[in-house]
Amino acid sequence: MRPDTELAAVAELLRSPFDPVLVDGVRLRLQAALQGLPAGGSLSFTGLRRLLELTDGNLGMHLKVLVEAGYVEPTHSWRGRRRTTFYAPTAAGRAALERHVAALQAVISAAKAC
Amino acid sequence: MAGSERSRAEPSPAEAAGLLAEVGRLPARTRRLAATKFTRVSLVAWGVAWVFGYAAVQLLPQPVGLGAFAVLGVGAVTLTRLGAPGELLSGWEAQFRRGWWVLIGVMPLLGLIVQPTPLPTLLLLLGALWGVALLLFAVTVSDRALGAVGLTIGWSLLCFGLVGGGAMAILGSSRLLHPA
Repeated sequence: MRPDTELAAVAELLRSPFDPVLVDGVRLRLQAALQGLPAGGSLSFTGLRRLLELTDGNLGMHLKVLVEAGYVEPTHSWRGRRRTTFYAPTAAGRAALERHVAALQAVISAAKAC
Repeated sequence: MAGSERSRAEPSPAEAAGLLAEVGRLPARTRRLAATKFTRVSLVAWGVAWVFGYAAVQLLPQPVGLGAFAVLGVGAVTLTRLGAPGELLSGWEAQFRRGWWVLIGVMPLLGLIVQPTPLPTLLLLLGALWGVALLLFAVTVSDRALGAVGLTIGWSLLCFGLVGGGAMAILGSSRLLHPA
Protein backbone atom coordinates (compact mmCIF):
# COMPACT_ATOMS: atom_id res chain seq x y z
CA MET A 1 0.00 0.00 0.00
CA ARG A 2 1.34 3.50 -0.90
CA PRO A 3 1.97 5.89 2.08
CA ASP A 4 -0.74 8.38 1.04
CA THR A 5 -3.27 5.56 0.58
CA GLU A 6 -2.25 4.18 3.97
CA LEU A 7 -2.75 7.57 5.65
CA ALA A 8 -6.14 7.95 4.00
CA ALA A 9 -7.16 4.53 5.31
CA VAL A 10 -6.07 5.45 8.86
CA ALA A 11 -7.89 8.81 8.64
CA GLU A 12 -11.04 6.99 7.50
CA LEU A 13 -10.74 4.57 10.39
CA LEU A 14 -10.35 7.40 12.91
CA ARG A 15 -13.48 9.10 11.61
CA SER A 16 -15.58 6.37 13.30
CA PRO A 17 -17.26 8.23 16.16
CA PHE A 18 -17.05 7.11 19.79
CA ASP A 19 -20.45 6.93 21.37
CA PRO A 20 -20.64 9.51 24.20
CA VAL A 21 -22.90 7.24 26.28
CA LEU A 22 -20.74 4.14 25.83
CA VAL A 23 -17.45 5.91 26.50
CA ASP A 24 -18.02 4.98 30.14
CA GLY A 25 -16.61 1.48 30.78
CA VAL A 26 -19.49 0.28 32.98
CA ARG A 27 -22.12 1.34 30.45
CA LEU A 28 -20.10 -0.30 27.67
CA ARG A 29 -20.00 -3.57 29.64
CA LEU A 30 -23.73 -3.32 30.38
CA GLN A 31 -24.63 -2.77 26.74
CA ALA A 32 -22.28 -5.58 25.66
CA ALA A 33 -23.83 -7.98 28.18
CA LEU A 34 -27.33 -7.16 26.90
CA GLN A 35 -26.12 -7.53 23.30
CA GLY A 36 -25.75 -11.28 23.88
CA LEU A 37 -29.47 -11.71 24.49
CA PRO A 38 -31.53 -13.16 21.65
CA ALA A 39 -34.15 -10.90 20.03
CA GLY A 40 -36.96 -10.40 22.53
CA GLY A 41 -34.78 -11.46 25.46
CA SER A 42 -34.23 -9.40 28.60
CA LEU A 43 -32.27 -9.58 31.84
CA SER A 44 -33.49 -8.53 35.26
CA PHE A 45 -31.74 -5.99 37.46
CA THR A 46 -30.56 -8.84 39.71
CA GLY A 47 -29.33 -10.86 36.74
CA LEU A 48 -27.30 -7.92 35.45
CA ARG A 49 -25.90 -7.21 38.91
CA ARG A 50 -24.71 -10.83 39.25
CA LEU A 51 -23.35 -11.00 35.71
CA LEU A 52 -21.32 -7.81 35.97
CA GLU A 53 -20.65 -7.86 39.75
CA LEU A 54 -21.84 -4.30 40.30
CA THR A 55 -23.44 -2.65 43.32
CA ASP A 56 -27.14 -1.74 43.19
CA GLY A 57 -26.41 2.00 43.19
CA ASN A 58 -23.80 1.85 40.45
CA LEU A 59 -25.91 -0.41 38.25
CA GLY A 60 -29.07 1.66 38.76
CA MET A 61 -27.26 4.89 37.87
CA HIS A 62 -25.77 3.55 34.64
CA LEU A 63 -28.96 1.76 33.59
CA LYS A 64 -30.81 5.06 33.99
CA VAL A 65 -28.39 6.75 31.55
CA LEU A 66 -28.77 3.91 29.03
CA VAL A 67 -32.57 4.03 29.29
CA GLU A 68 -32.59 7.82 28.84
CA ALA A 69 -30.34 7.46 25.77
CA GLY A 70 -32.83 4.96 24.30
CA TYR A 71 -30.26 2.15 24.26
CA VAL A 72 -32.05 -0.05 26.79
CA GLU A 73 -35.76 -0.59 27.34
CA PRO A 74 -37.11 -1.49 30.78
CA THR A 75 -40.22 -3.63 31.27
CA HIS A 76 -41.90 -4.48 34.54
CA SER A 77 -43.12 -7.95 35.36
CA TRP A 78 -45.14 -9.13 38.35
CA ARG A 79 -44.71 -12.53 39.94
CA GLY A 80 -47.22 -12.61 42.77
CA ARG A 81 -46.63 -9.43 44.75
CA ARG A 82 -43.04 -9.08 43.63
CA ARG A 83 -42.18 -6.66 40.86
CA THR A 84 -39.15 -7.36 38.69
CA THR A 85 -37.71 -4.96 36.15
CA PHE A 86 -36.23 -6.52 33.03
CA TYR A 87 -33.92 -4.68 30.65
CA ALA A 88 -33.66 -5.37 26.91
CA PRO A 89 -31.34 -3.78 24.38
CA THR A 90 -33.06 -1.62 21.76
CA ALA A 91 -32.13 -1.58 18.06
CA ALA A 92 -30.52 1.85 18.62
CA GLY A 93 -28.48 0.42 21.52
CA ARG A 94 -27.27 -2.55 19.47
CA ALA A 95 -26.30 -0.24 16.59
CA ALA A 96 -24.53 2.21 18.94
CA LEU A 97 -22.48 -0.60 20.46
CA GLU A 98 -21.46 -1.85 17.02
CA ARG A 99 -20.37 1.67 16.02
CA HIS A 100 -18.44 2.09 19.27
CA VAL A 101 -16.72 -1.27 18.82
CA ALA A 102 -15.79 -0.26 15.25
CA ALA A 103 -14.28 2.96 16.64
CA LEU A 104 -12.26 1.00 19.22
CA GLN A 105 -11.01 -1.32 16.47
CA ALA A 106 -10.06 1.77 14.44
CA VAL A 107 -7.84 2.99 17.31
CA ILE A 108 -5.99 -0.34 17.30
CA SER A 109 -5.73 -0.46 13.50
CA ALA A 110 -4.46 3.14 13.42
CA ALA A 111 -1.79 2.36 16.02
CA LYS A 112 -0.67 -0.65 13.96
CA ALA A 113 -0.62 1.36 10.72
CA CYS A 114 1.50 4.21 12.16
CA MET B 1 -12.14 19.01 20.73
CA ALA B 2 -10.02 20.08 23.73
CA GLY B 3 -7.07 17.89 24.59
CA SER B 4 -8.52 16.71 27.94
CA GLU B 5 -11.90 15.84 26.36
CA ARG B 6 -10.18 14.01 23.52
CA SER B 7 -8.08 11.93 25.87
CA ARG B 8 -11.19 11.05 27.94
CA ALA B 9 -13.22 10.08 24.87
CA GLU B 10 -10.56 8.27 22.88
CA PRO B 11 -8.80 5.43 24.65
CA SER B 12 -5.20 4.50 23.95
CA PRO B 13 -4.63 1.44 21.71
CA ALA B 14 -3.87 -0.68 24.79
CA GLU B 15 -7.06 0.48 26.54
CA ALA B 16 -9.04 -0.09 23.34
CA ALA B 17 -7.69 -3.63 23.08
CA GLY B 18 -8.65 -4.32 26.72
CA LEU B 19 -12.16 -2.92 26.22
CA LEU B 20 -12.62 -4.91 23.00
CA ALA B 21 -11.56 -8.12 24.70
CA GLU B 22 -14.13 -7.60 27.45
CA VAL B 23 -16.86 -6.49 25.05
CA GLY B 24 -16.15 -9.65 23.03
CA ARG B 25 -16.49 -11.92 26.09
CA LEU B 26 -19.67 -10.45 27.64
CA PRO B 27 -22.27 -11.27 24.92
CA ALA B 28 -21.05 -14.88 24.87
CA ARG B 29 -21.39 -15.01 28.65
CA THR B 30 -24.98 -13.72 28.45
CA ARG B 31 -25.81 -16.24 25.71
CA ARG B 32 -24.44 -19.04 27.89
CA LEU B 33 -26.42 -17.75 30.86
CA ALA B 34 -29.60 -17.58 28.74
CA ALA B 35 -29.17 -21.15 27.47
CA THR B 36 -28.20 -22.73 30.79
CA LYS B 37 -30.68 -20.89 33.03
CA PHE B 38 -33.53 -21.55 30.64
CA THR B 39 -32.98 -25.30 30.42
CA ARG B 40 -31.20 -26.47 33.58
CA VAL B 41 -34.19 -27.32 35.84
CA SER B 42 -36.25 -28.84 33.03
CA LEU B 43 -33.29 -30.97 31.88
CA VAL B 44 -32.78 -32.37 35.39
CA ALA B 45 -36.53 -33.01 35.79
CA TRP B 46 -36.90 -34.75 32.44
CA GLY B 47 -33.60 -36.60 32.81
CA VAL B 48 -34.76 -38.09 36.13
CA ALA B 49 -38.21 -38.84 34.66
CA TRP B 50 -36.60 -40.72 31.78
CA VAL B 51 -34.13 -42.70 33.88
CA PHE B 52 -36.73 -43.91 36.39
CA GLY B 53 -39.66 -43.93 33.94
CA TYR B 54 -37.99 -46.20 31.41
CA ALA B 55 -36.73 -48.44 34.22
CA ALA B 56 -40.26 -48.63 35.67
CA VAL B 57 -41.80 -49.55 32.29
CA GLN B 58 -39.13 -52.17 31.76
CA LEU B 59 -39.07 -53.72 35.23
CA LEU B 60 -42.52 -53.22 36.80
CA PRO B 61 -45.69 -55.08 35.74
CA GLN B 62 -48.06 -53.09 33.51
CA PRO B 63 -49.93 -50.82 33.96
CA VAL B 64 -47.98 -49.99 37.17
CA GLY B 65 -44.77 -49.18 35.24
CA LEU B 66 -46.58 -46.97 32.75
CA GLY B 67 -48.43 -45.23 35.61
CA ALA B 68 -45.10 -44.55 37.35
CA PHE B 69 -43.73 -43.05 34.11
CA ALA B 70 -46.84 -40.86 33.78
CA VAL B 71 -46.46 -39.61 37.38
CA LEU B 72 -42.78 -38.82 36.74
CA GLY B 73 -43.77 -36.98 33.55
CA VAL B 74 -46.35 -34.86 35.40
CA GLY B 75 -43.68 -34.09 38.02
CA ALA B 76 -41.26 -33.03 35.29
CA VAL B 77 -43.90 -30.73 33.72
CA THR B 78 -44.56 -29.13 37.13
CA LEU B 79 -40.85 -28.64 37.85
CA THR B 80 -40.31 -27.17 34.37
CA ARG B 81 -43.01 -24.59 35.06
CA LEU B 82 -41.88 -23.79 38.61
CA GLY B 83 -38.20 -23.75 37.71
CA ALA B 84 -38.44 -21.05 35.05
CA PRO B 85 -35.62 -18.57 35.72
CA GLY B 86 -36.74 -15.36 37.37
CA GLU B 87 -33.74 -13.31 36.31
CA LEU B 88 -33.88 -13.81 32.60
CA LEU B 89 -36.43 -13.83 29.81
CA SER B 90 -34.87 -15.53 26.84
CA GLY B 91 -37.52 -14.37 24.38
CA TRP B 92 -38.10 -18.00 23.35
CA GLU B 93 -40.61 -18.81 26.10
CA ALA B 94 -43.78 -18.57 23.96
CA GLN B 95 -42.31 -20.50 21.01
CA PHE B 96 -40.83 -23.12 23.31
CA ARG B 97 -44.19 -23.62 25.07
CA ARG B 98 -46.07 -23.93 21.76
CA GLY B 99 -43.51 -26.38 20.34
CA TRP B 100 -43.63 -28.43 23.51
CA TRP B 101 -47.43 -28.77 23.42
CA VAL B 102 -47.25 -29.76 19.73
CA LEU B 103 -44.75 -32.48 20.68
CA ILE B 104 -47.00 -33.73 23.50
CA GLY B 105 -49.99 -33.70 21.13
CA VAL B 106 -48.15 -35.63 18.40
CA MET B 107 -47.04 -38.43 20.74
CA PRO B 108 -50.40 -40.28 21.08
CA LEU B 109 -50.91 -39.91 17.32
CA LEU B 110 -47.54 -41.51 16.63
CA GLY B 111 -48.43 -44.23 19.14
CA LEU B 112 -51.60 -45.00 17.16
CA ILE B 113 -49.77 -45.00 13.82
CA VAL B 114 -47.17 -47.57 14.87
CA GLN B 115 -49.65 -49.98 16.52
CA PRO B 116 -49.31 -52.87 17.20
CA THR B 117 -45.90 -52.23 18.77
CA PRO B 118 -44.49 -53.56 22.07
CA LEU B 119 -44.57 -50.85 24.75
CA PRO B 120 -40.77 -50.59 25.26
CA THR B 121 -40.28 -50.11 21.50
CA LEU B 122 -43.05 -47.50 21.37
CA LEU B 123 -41.43 -45.58 24.24
CA LEU B 124 -38.10 -45.79 22.47
CA LEU B 125 -39.68 -44.31 19.33
CA LEU B 126 -41.28 -41.49 21.32
CA GLY B 127 -37.96 -40.87 23.05
CA ALA B 128 -36.26 -40.58 19.67
CA LEU B 129 -38.93 -38.05 18.58
CA TRP B 130 -38.27 -36.10 21.80
CA GLY B 131 -34.55 -36.16 21.06
CA VAL B 132 -35.07 -34.75 17.56
CA ALA B 133 -37.23 -31.94 19.04
CA LEU B 134 -34.48 -31.19 21.58
CA LEU B 135 -31.92 -31.14 18.77
CA LEU B 136 -34.01 -28.69 16.71
CA PHE B 137 -34.42 -26.42 19.75
CA ALA B 138 -30.68 -26.57 20.42
CA VAL B 139 -29.92 -25.63 16.81
CA THR B 140 -32.35 -22.69 17.03
CA VAL B 141 -30.79 -21.28 20.20
CA SER B 142 -27.19 -22.29 19.28
CA ASP B 143 -26.78 -24.53 22.35
CA ARG B 144 -24.11 -27.06 21.34
CA ALA B 145 -24.20 -29.16 24.52
CA LEU B 146 -27.97 -29.55 24.34
CA GLY B 147 -27.64 -30.36 20.64
CA ALA B 148 -25.25 -33.19 21.47
CA VAL B 149 -27.75 -34.57 24.01
CA GLY B 150 -30.58 -34.30 21.46
CA LEU B 151 -28.47 -36.09 18.88
CA THR B 152 -27.72 -38.90 21.33
CA ILE B 153 -31.41 -39.33 22.20
CA GLY B 154 -32.43 -38.99 18.55
CA TRP B 155 -30.12 -41.87 17.78
CA SER B 156 -31.55 -44.02 20.54
CA LEU B 157 -32.96 -46.49 17.99
CA LEU B 158 -29.47 -46.82 16.56
CA CYS B 159 -28.11 -47.32 20.11
CA PHE B 160 -30.87 -49.87 20.72
CA GLY B 161 -29.84 -51.69 17.53
CA LEU B 162 -26.15 -51.51 18.37
CA VAL B 163 -26.54 -52.63 21.98
CA GLY B 164 -29.24 -55.26 21.41
CA GLY B 165 -28.03 -56.48 18.01
CA GLY B 166 -24.39 -56.21 19.05
CA ALA B 167 -25.02 -58.32 22.15
CA MET B 168 -26.79 -61.00 20.07
CA ALA B 169 -24.03 -61.00 17.43
CA ILE B 170 -21.30 -61.30 20.08
CA LEU B 171 -23.13 -64.13 21.85
CA GLY B 172 -23.74 -65.94 18.52
CA SER B 173 -20.11 -65.51 17.42
CA SER B 174 -18.88 -66.77 20.75
CA ARG B 175 -21.08 -69.90 20.39
CA LEU B 176 -19.88 -70.40 16.81
CA LEU B 177 -16.24 -70.16 17.84
CA HIS B 178 -16.56 -72.20 21.02
CA PRO B 179 -19.23 -74.86 20.43
CA ALA B 180 -20.27 -76.81 23.52
